Amino acid sequence: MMKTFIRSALVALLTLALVIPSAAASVTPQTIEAGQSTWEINQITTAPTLDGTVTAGEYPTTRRWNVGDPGTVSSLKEGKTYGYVDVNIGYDAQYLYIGAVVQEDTFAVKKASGTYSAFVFHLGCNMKDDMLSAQQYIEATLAINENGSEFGGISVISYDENGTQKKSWDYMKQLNAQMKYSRGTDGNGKAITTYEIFVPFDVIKAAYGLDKIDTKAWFNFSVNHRDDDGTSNGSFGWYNPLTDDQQADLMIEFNFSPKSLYNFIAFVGTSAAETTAAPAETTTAAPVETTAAPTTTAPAVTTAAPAQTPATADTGIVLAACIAMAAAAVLALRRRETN
Amino acid sequence: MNKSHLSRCLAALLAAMTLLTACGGDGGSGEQTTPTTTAPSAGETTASADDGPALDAYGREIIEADLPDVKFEGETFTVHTRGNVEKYEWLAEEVTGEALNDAIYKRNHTIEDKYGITLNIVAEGSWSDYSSSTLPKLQASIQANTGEYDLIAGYSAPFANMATTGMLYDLNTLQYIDFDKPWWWQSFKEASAVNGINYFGLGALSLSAIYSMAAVFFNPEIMEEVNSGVDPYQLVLDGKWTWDKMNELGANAVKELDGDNAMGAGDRWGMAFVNGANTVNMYGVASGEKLSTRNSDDTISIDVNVEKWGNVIDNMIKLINSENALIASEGDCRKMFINGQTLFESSWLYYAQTQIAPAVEAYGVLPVPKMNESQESYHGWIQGGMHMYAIPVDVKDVERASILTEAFAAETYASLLPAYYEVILKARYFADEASSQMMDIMYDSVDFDFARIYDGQIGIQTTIKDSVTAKQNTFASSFASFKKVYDKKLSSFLSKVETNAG
Repeated sequence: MMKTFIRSALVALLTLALVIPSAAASVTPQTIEAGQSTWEINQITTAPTLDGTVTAGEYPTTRRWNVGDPGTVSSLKEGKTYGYVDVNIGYDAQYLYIGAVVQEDTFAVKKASGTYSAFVFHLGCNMKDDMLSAQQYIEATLAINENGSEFGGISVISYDENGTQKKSWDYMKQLNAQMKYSRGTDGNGKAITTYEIFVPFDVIKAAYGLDKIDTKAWFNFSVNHRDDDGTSNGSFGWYNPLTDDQQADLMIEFNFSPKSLYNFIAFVGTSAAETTAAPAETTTAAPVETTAAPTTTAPAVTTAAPAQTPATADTGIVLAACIAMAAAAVLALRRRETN
Repeated sequence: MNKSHLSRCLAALLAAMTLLTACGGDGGSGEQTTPTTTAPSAGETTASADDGPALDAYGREIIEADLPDVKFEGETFTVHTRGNVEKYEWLAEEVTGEALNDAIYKRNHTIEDKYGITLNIVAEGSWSDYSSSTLPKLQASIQANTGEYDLIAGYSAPFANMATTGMLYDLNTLQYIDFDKPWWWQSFKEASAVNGINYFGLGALSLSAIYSMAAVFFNPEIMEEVNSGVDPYQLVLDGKWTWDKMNELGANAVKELDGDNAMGAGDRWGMAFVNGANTVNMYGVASGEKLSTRNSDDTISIDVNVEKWGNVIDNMIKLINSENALIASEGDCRKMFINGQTLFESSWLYYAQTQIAPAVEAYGVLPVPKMNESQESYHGWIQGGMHMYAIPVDVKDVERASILTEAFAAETYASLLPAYYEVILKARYFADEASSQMMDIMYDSVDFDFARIYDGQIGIQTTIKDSVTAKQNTFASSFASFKKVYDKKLSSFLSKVETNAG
């Protein structure tokens, strides 16, 4: 009788633990589960040639973004637009290789300081799920002036707990060492700007005190449009805007929140040679229009559900505690039965 | 401060201004002599018409500071002030013949002589590095108990953070700081109090508060050309100076000038607004809607009337994005106004003083308009560039610091403020007598709000700015989302103040 009662109680306890943990646990906002997309990028076997152009098969992963595509964010004014932005990408143990091709009829930025085009990306490798980690990234502005001169401004950014940005240029020389840009035309005779940069992982690890590079990294890009008089005509990019509710939750948890968080690139082990997707054509032809990276497995771009549901550490702890209690009780019962 | 005396005694003021204009502008010899081109000192009095209290040359009742007759012979009084604008408040190394400089010089020497002290001005930092460099340095100095500074003129936006540190004296507890005197701004004292504590004082000492006042400049030539017979000053006095009226008058000024058949930087605009938060803040305040409430028990709540604010934001989006309006950078707006390409420019007095006056022969100044005629009064905004005054807890002699702070404030009110406010702004810079009344209205209508003074700790201004700049009025939903954040931040702020208060 007693045993039956205890068993019943244990079953009820376990059932309760499985059914209601979400109600019992507090909702902890997640910086890495805020609705971001993940773009799987492939490992590279032969390093690309750093020459400011992208040739067929040079990069194992390529993706085209058009203004208006799902997941892109555009504030471009009417009549101010880009044909496309192709990001060709790959990695090996030493570098992240990026070759960005932007179709733009003219240099998009016109300011008193000069007329130029620019491609901006952010790369963060600290994947701990908290706001300060999410706000550790390099900010790279790659720009080519109409007179052909090139400029690369790469800063190392972090934030303090009050949300104040700290920017360092200490690693700029090392990060700037390998980049090359050019203006040209694509296969359809459209004007393109190409930005090639090889980012050394060791520098990022040193900048942020990381032991290793995780299997994922924060990533975004944007291109900005400015008029002759310097007036902003908006920008176009790939990042993950946060809703007001998400920002508010993050502010409550971490004291500050950006208006958006970056998406992810995921480093997959598939070598470029093993992929079955058609390689990118040539820089003079329009790059292959893909919505997913060329892998042979599951779709490469996934979108995590926003952290509305508390699949949190709290839930895990509650479950683990319940299971441990149940196991201990069953053991005790067995001992009593044995005795 | 009570300015009503000034308004009542306009005749005396005009007489004084005539005298000053006659005396001024003769240049300086460069010798260290007592300036003769500045405003009359507080010692120059006029008898009141009805045998009432004696009035000064500006028609104000002469009020003395209640301070002991003491000397601090040979001692140094050190004031820390933000760099690059310090010359408008503290720095005057010699008589130059420039009225403001000479008035500062005279004020400084009057107090130095009276109390036997040497004034030491430490001016460092700018708006861009005050948070990251100057403020941490000040905090480190106070924490190290160096006693380095007797008085701090802090850049208000970031300096407000000091309320949570326990590093400043509650000015209410200092015997010789008398907030009831007209050289302190009562409405600021009331709005900025935290848990009954006043770490900051604002008043005559803060000339930066006056030059940080929001204003609308207008070009009288364009006004006459396109709105002949319209007197903008009278519109203000009649309570008819509204957002719609400014837009309506501005519409008549719009003109395609450069022949490209598209409105741009080469054309003439009705209105110019600087892109960014300052424009949103000045018009938000001008609407009369508050962001916080001081309750009867002296507690603070972030109680926003969402419906009314939604209406304000709708109207602001409509005004700023009017086809008659140019939205541009601060520099471009100023350049176009100086070039005669804008009828109305929304800005603040600092630019009249430093850039417009030297470049433009005639211009007018108006308060920021009311949202609509049904609004009871004008509401003026002072942007965060103003200096708030505080006494650090490590000061070597707090009694001396309070005496000298009060003495400088009283003397500034008596001699420097009129020189700056009445002479510089009215007679010299604003070559237009009617702007005297406008200045009075602007001064009297300044609106302080706890949530704006401590916005760095609460952050609600951003939500409004984002709604306006996005041109999508999402304020109601955004406020609903962020209300818990404001409440938490407010609670945390008040708690830190309480914890660290001496």
